[in-house]
Amino acid sequence: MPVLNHAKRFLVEQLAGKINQMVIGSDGTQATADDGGARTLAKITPTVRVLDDQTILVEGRFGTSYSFDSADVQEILLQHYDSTTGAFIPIYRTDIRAVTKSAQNEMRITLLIEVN
Amino acid sequence: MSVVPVAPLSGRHDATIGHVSSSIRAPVFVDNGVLHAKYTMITNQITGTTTNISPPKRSDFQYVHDRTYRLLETQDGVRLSHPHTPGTAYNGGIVFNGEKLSGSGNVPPMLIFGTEDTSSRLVPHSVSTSSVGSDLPLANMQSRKLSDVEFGEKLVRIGQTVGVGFRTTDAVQRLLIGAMHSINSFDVGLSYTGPRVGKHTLHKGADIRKHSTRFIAHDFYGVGILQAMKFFGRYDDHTLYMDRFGNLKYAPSVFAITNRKLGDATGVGEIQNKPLLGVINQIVSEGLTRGLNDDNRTIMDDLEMQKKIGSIKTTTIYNPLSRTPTASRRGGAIALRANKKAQQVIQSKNHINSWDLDPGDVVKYEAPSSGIMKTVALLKASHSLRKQSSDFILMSNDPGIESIITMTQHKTELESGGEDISFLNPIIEMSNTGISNIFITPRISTFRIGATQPRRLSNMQPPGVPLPSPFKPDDNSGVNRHAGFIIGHRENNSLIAATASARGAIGVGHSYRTTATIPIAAGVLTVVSTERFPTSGTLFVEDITGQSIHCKYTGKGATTFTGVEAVAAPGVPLVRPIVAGANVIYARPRSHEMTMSRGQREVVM
Repeated sequence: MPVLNHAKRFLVEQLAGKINQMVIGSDGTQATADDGGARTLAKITPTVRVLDDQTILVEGRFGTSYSFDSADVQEILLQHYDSTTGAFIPIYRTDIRAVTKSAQNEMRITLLIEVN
Repeated sequence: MSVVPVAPLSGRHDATIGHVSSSIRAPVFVDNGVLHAKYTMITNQITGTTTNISPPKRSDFQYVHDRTYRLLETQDGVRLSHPHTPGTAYNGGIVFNGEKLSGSGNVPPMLIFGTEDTSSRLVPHSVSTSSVGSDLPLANMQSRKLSDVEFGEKLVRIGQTVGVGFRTTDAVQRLLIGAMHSINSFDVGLSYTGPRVGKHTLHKGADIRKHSTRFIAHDFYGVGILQAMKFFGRYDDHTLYMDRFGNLKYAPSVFAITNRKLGDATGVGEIQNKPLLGVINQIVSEGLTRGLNDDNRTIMDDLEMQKKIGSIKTTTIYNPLSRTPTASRRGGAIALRANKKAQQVIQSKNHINSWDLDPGDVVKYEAPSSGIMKTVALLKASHSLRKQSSDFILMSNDPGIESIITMTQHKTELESGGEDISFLNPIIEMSNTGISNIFITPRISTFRIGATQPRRLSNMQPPGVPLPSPFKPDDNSGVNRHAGFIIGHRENNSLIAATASARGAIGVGHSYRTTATIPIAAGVLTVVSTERFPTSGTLFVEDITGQSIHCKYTGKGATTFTGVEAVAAPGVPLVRPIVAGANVIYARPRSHEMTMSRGQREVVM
């Protein structure tokens, strides 16, 4: 018997409240469950919305003001950052194919988190 | 041989009997009270006394009373509290059986039953801590509410059920009184277990008949006599036997051990092994439920047989005399044990010198092929005087769960139906594990922004005119970068010599314009500024009447246009003067800048 729906909703709300940073980085090594931080290129505060009892939508946009000449974007990281202590808890990391981020393009990142 | 009940010589019979009698004394109703005593079977080697009655233990039962309690349904059970009466409003825990029910260390009552309908009953599982009243969680509700199990009482009493009935061995005798039957006799106990029981006693008489120590409080109206006896037998480990003379016996399910060795068989080929009963190795034993949330069903497994066969074969037996899970487990264990005993039978024929052996005897049997001596029980015996040989169906006593059970249960305990051995109650642990996952689905795209494409030709500001508010998107940076379809006025290409007026404009863009400051004189028009105006071109100039004159100019200074003359007639001077303040507009350019600038989406993930 899986976890009750009330608990899933509770998990969703807790997680949504904790996600407060989206990072793009230049490290393209394959993502694993043990990954820690990213080789940061830029960070933003994403928009987090609870869609329903089991789903969270996280959106972020790195616009034309973000331009990196020296490295390509190869990873996306979601994390919880505690500004008082400086500690962070990585929540999700994925590696992507190399994307050149310049002033002529913008990156839009949408993540759907489902708790089943 | 028929049994003649022996009437007592006096009234109440409580004297110690100095000898063991070989006939069972008929029970006599001597009291109109319910006697609650501990009834055990003992064997005294000197006197042969077999039964012992002692006062019950205080912990054997719970004191109950007639008080009613208020019942409130909680999330996982019920809450009992004292009903408020005028002058009292006590909200503490209830006191039951000498202790206050306040926490998990207290023993809950056995039953909660309604005041209006006493058959509406609930079985509490435990006591949990509560600030108001006493919380009694209910087991086995399976997410149901009390209304789902049809319990609607609000005022309840607590208590336990007490059965008042006969001893089983007395009850079976009463069943046959006055009944029409065609059997020769009915007896309790195995008559042929007498002198060959293999025991040496110091008292007169043999250790023959014993009463059971189980009491039954159940009505058997409408139930057949034999069926009722079988129910009794399942309850106290007795079996019905019918011997070849038509005597029906209600005797313990234990075989008598003899010292006899089965006579030699005249032919080895006459031995056959065959299974007797089905290979049931799991029994679901059901009994009567005590309450609406009670599930009196227990599962007993014979693990050894399951391993041997490699699969689980199950059957369900119903025991109406089992009112508790313990009794159901006992019934299931008895059935498993009996089935285990009859797993493998040996059919052996033509044995000599075995005419005195009867079914129920346990004899030594030498397997003719291996010479190994083993103990077997006789299930069936048929003797032929003519052939002077006997055919037997033998049952082997395999070790395994059977030996474990019998190792710690002596014969007397088996017959007396002693207390449960703890391992007769298997502990079944069930744990449910659920799976919970968190999935993240990423969608990453890059968009190539068309707004970063700079305007090539239509990026000019009107000369000398500050940007109005709202802005005109002219500075080609930041928010003024555009995307999409652009239609803009192109700056006049001075390499094109044509001086004809521009084609019809679409309406966007702007034309250079300025204002005359000094009336035109000798083909020189003085204006505020000629910045951005090409060095020569075409102008629309207002004349004194406010109408526009299409004219051209051939040169310019910082604030002057030179060689200004009307276009319509070359070489003809302007007929209407141009005064100061006239609008001077550069004629609209011929073409427009059109650029398709579109953002391009590229999906990364």
